[in-house]
Amino acid sequence: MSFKYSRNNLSKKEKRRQRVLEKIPGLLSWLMLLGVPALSVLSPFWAAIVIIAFMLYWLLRIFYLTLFLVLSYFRLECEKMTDWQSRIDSIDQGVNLKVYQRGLKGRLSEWFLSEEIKLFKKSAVAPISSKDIYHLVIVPVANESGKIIAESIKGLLNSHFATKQMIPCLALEDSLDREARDIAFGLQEQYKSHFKDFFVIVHPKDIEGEARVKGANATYAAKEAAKYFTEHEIPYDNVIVSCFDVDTIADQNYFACLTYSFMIHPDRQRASYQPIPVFYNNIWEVPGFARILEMGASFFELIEVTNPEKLVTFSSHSMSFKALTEIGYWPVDMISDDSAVFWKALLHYDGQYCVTPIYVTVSMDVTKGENIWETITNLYKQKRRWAWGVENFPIVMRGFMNNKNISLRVKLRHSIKMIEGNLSWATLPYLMILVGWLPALWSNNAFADTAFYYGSKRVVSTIFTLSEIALVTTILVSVSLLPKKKSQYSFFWKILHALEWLLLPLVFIIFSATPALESQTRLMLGQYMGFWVAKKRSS
Amino acid sequence: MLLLRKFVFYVFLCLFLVICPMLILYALGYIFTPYGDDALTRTGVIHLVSYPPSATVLVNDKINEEKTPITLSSLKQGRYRIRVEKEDYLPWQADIYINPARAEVVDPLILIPRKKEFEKLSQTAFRDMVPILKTNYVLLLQGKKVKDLSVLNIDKKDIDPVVQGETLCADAEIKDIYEQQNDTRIILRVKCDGETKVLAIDLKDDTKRYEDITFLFKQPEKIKKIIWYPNSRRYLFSWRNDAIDKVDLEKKTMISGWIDQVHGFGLTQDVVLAVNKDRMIEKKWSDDKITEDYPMPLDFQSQFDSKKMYRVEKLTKNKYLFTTEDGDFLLNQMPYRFLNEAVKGYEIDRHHRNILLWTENKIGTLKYRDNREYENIFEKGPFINWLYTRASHLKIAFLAHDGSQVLFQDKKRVYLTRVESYPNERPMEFFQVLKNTLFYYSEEKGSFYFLDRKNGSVITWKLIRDENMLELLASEKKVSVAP
Repeated sequence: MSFKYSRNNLSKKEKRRQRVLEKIPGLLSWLMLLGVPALSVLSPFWAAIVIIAFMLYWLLRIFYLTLFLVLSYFRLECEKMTDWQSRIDSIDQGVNLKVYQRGLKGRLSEWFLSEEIKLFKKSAVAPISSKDIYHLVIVPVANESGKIIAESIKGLLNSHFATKQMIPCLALEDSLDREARDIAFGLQEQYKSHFKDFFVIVHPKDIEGEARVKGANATYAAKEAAKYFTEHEIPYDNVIVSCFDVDTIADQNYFACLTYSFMIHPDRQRASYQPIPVFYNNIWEVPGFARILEMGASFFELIEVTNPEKLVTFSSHSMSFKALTEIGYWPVDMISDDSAVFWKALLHYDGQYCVTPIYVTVSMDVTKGENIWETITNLYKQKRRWAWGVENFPIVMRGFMNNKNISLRVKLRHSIKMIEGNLSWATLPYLMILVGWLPALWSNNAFADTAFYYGSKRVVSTIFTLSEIALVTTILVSVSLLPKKKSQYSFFWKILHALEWLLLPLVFIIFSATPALESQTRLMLGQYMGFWVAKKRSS
Repeated sequence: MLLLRKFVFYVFLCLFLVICPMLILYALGYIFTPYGDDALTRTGVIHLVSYPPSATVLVNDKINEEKTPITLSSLKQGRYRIRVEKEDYLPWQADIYINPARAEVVDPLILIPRKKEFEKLSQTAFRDMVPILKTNYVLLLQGKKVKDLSVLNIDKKDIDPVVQGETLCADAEIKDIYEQQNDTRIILRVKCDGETKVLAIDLKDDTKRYEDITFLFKQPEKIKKIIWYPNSRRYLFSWRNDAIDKVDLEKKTMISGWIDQVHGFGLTQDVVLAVNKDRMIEKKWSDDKITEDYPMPLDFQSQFDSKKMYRVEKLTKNKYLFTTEDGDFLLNQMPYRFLNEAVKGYEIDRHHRNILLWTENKIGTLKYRDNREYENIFEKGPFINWLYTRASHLKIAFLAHDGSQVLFQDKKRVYLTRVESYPNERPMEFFQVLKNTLFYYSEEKGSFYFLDRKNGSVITWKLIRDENMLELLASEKKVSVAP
């Protein structure tokens, strides 16, 4: 269905609808945050019932999420030793899969794979040869240093997949400084021969209809690349496009795993491929609170990938180039291009579009600054930008309203997930703190003379204690996931990192709930955000 | 993974739907006893917080594994004998009746050490002590002269003469000491060389100098009362010949007869409350304007004795208390007079809900403000809840620990009782003080101050240890009110 995925240049009716929908996430969050204390004052009895129900929901939710965090982590561990190239070769040769790996992890990996092969065979989709697949890797550059750009390109060279089927594309903003620009062109000269081709495309400023956002730059580069593919008669069906943040260093297996996943996907052209983002590049160079915050972000994605039905693209990811061109590329006037491109595709293909998880990592930088205060500020701004993904909600809802071809089931699944996700993001950490304070609020009230006051306190306190099991599990996974610090005190640093998790409530309030609440409130009030480029490693 | 995720989701959903109502019922106090008469019974709880903590709790002589602070839950309706024991402390015991769905709260329960370690603060013998409530100072008197007056700083634990060095008034005889709680300034009315003088002294002032402010008073020998608002350093009000004089200490001026025909007066932060036989007025200190004029209803007038001098106190926005030194105790709320006996003293709790009052042999609380909602729609109105009725000669009482406990002195003996005491729970005796003197308890320090019953030296005793004191102050305490 043709749908204008934007909040700009709408008809009067759509504009009105857009504004109403923009207010919903913020209103719900504020209603929740103010409603619980208000109910506590007006009727402590009912507030205690709501709190018990909420706490039980929260406990089951964290157990549920922790279970899938562990499973997802285990799956990631299983796939670490996978020889993706051999798998690609076996598919190319049309042979059935053989057991290449030993041990429990290897056997499990083979089992996961055999299940995927079964699905592929069932779909009767024509196989594609890996030799016909090309990777377009778009790296939008706004104001990052030449050093970071070079590291990104060198990361591609280390790939286990044939680099001769890869086309890096540095998408430079017109405003980029001379030095970085020279480095980009220098890299093109130096490494062009290693790849199928190497593009450096400068995105002119002030193109009509564009905002100063990453999506506009990536779109311009993709359009230029499309001309190249047409010229060289490379079918769009055979091209996978990956849009990487400039600090992204893909795992050596990334392109092999991606190629394999693309090859065996029953509907490969209508899927995005989502790796696990981790923030390891400078993880030991940032303060503890930043470390656990970004580990939290990785965990979130690890959990999310276990539910492909509701999975939405996040940060660096890949998709079919054909789909990208058909949906009209990335939105050029939105900040959250990473998730917006999925929603755009979902609406365009009438709900017949999905995100497929791929169990490899892409490593990025943790945002930092020159000093701790600047790090705090930068982190806050980055999380606010992430939370600004809520801008998709009104547009997607309008899209759902206007599209009769999408099934109600799909509409409900995604709508509930979006509302619940945004609501939890902005309110859960606050509510957890609030729940701890409510007994003090009731202590001078007649409610404090009831058995229910003490009963509810006991129940809430028991739930808090039980939730520590989930926290300990999370800490263990976190310690296992972290890369080793290049120091003889690696064990000491891991212990220290485990203790850093005690900062979790405070970190989540400051860097998760507050920026999310700010974003939702801004959207509610119509104070739209502009793009802000996160500062990462110093050059 | 997707299938597993869906399966686990529905399992967790079922768990939520089953556990949630069960948890709510449990929190409400319901227990399930399959073989009892009533399978589903609603129970009550006892919440016990002791100072010091970690005391053993016995319920009907059975030891509970958990130590204090403790919430004993799932208690069926009925009477329970609760005993709290801790090594080196006297045991506490009470019979507590449990009603379904209700909580009986014993917080804080102060455990009394078996061995009291008294600390002597002076070798000098004193005849009397006058605590300045809600300050760190206690006045100590050896005789009737100014030079006999000392002050105990309970922070520093030192005792100094109130007026230091050779002064003109050292040998003056003290006629009256005027003090205000929460204010370190005192005013002495003394007889010096046949003349009546008024001296102002700030106990905080280390130079121990006094200021002679006699010139600001007309006929100082006739002054019956001097009052001021705590920490308001500018104005004083004195009562003389049924009139109030206003003294401005800054401008060194006095307005004689600022309000006439006065049978009682009191102060709030910005007005003087003055009553005559048929009305009460509020007059502003700053611009001398009368802001309110309340005529007294005839019913109240009939209770009000205009021959007496009343002290007026504003309790809340529209609640006023009228008391006399000989024990009249009236509230501007029906039935105005709550008891026929003479009230010897009273204290208002800091939350302005209760008045602790005592007569010759009874001690009780009058609850004049109640925000709670009761099941019975017929309002009960203020009433006195007697806590102890077997005293022989009550001297003084204090509300302590956020109004949950009462410390009182009967003749020479000092006791502690809880405001919400249970049957079988007796006041606990602490110690004895010097005859005809009073004790003082600093809630902030958790310590008593009194004169030794044998030699009059100053003694202090710490009831609550410092580490427990912090817990006590920090804990979320329930304000005790009469049941």
